[in-house]
Amino acid sequence: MDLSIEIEGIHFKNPIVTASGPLGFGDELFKYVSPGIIGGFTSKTVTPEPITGNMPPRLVYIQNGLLNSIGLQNPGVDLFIQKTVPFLSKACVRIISVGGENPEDFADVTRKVEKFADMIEVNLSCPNVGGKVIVSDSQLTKEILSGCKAMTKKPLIAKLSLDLDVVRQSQIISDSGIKIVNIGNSIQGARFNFKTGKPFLKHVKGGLSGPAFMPIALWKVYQVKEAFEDLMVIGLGGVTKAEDVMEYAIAGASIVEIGTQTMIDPKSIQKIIEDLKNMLEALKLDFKAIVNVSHRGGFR
Amino acid sequence: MEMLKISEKGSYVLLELPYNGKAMPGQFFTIKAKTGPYIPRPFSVYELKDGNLKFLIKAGGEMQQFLNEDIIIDGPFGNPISKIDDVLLIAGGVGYAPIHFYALVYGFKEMIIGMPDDELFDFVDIPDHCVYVVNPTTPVDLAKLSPLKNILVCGPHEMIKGLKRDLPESTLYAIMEEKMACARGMCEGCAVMTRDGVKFVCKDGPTFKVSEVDLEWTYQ
Repeated sequence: MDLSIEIEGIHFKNPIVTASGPLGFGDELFKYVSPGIIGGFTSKTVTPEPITGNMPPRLVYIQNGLLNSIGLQNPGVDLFIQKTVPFLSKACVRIISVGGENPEDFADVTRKVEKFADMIEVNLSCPNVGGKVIVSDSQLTKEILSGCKAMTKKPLIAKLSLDLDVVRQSQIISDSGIKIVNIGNSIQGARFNFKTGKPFLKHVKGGLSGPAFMPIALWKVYQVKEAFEDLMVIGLGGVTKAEDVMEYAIAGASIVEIGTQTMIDPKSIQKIIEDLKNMLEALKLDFKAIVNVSHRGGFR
Repeated sequence: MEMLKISEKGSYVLLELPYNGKAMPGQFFTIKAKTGPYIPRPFSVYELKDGNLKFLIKAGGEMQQFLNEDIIIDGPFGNPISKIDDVLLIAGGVGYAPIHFYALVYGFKEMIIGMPDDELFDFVDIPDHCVYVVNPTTPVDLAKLSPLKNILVCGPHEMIKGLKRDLPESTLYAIMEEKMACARGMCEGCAVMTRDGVKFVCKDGPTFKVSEVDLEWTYQ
């Protein structure tokens, strides 16, 4: 059966895309995984200037998940273009994640990287930097998206926060003329050390990823697709197997991203793609046919 | 099939697995069972001999509930340590594991081991000609008495900080431990601040020259 899907004129050979963050800039990942087998690769977020990232500890192990506080560590856009861009493979869709603090930052990075990308993901929702989450400010969000649109004709993806109302965020995105939403960034969480009475992470909160939060992300995908049928949705969070990809597609996701699982076991992404193909063969359905099927009454 | 050896009071576990591959001192593996934990945990090699790989694990942690299942290992990860001439080895607690492996492969001139209790001393293999201490005397106090200037240490943060502070003339190498998720240099979880910027325990280490590490940032 056919796993391919087209999003805003961009052809994905299958719906499996790596999530921004856990896999860095791909240099280590592609030692284990051929870019030719995945639908797309999303870079770690790139900002105008280098960011050192947060002091350790940056990770807290939790049952069925991971709490991270990396802090958007990246080399800055100029070094990214110099050192990383030459190695971005065209064997899969190249999505570059852009970040910053204000509309000028986002526009600047978008302008510099857009010719090396097939799509630009606008990170409006990193949980691990200071200040407010950008997407909580509708005016700022609109200005950022407008600024990025002015810099490229490539499709933009708006990465939302699961800590805020996703329907309200999607309305802002839709009003800005953006057609693709990524749902979404890791959800904020905290753990405390009962021996010291202190939080494990220096910034108290971190971003929760892994299977522990998959039901929450699935619900958000469903909510957005129910409210905005025309928005294309990228779903992610806690995918460890092909069945999870099916669930995201059924809930409304046209693309399903995998981050933490690929980081733990890079080769598992190939098995997930093969298993997904086998599951669709058994159903005698193309991938496109199952996207959003929950809003159409399920399989009949 | 793996084997478990448990210390007298149950505080420590030696996990032994058949393994036909290679591993060098300084390297580590990640360990998990089929049912968990979700993030495989990194452990330094305690011993690799005759096709058997051993890890020293502190009991009571999150890993213990999975140790009675079939264990899945991945690795080896990290950069091997080269032989260090006339080395003083210093270990603290279960940080003894990679020091023990180093000593088996390369030998050593002197070794100081600090442990929180006798149980661990009685449990692990300790070479004859080394000194061991329990609190409140520390390996840092004893290291000041050694004429050796090349030191390899693995142990608690305060031990590494103390050695750097009290033995500024020595060349100090530390096998550093930090939480990590990928062991491959992707997740950027196991950060260490060096004079060349942020490096990672899994990809750039785990052994670092301590004079090049900002311990205040890394172990604040």
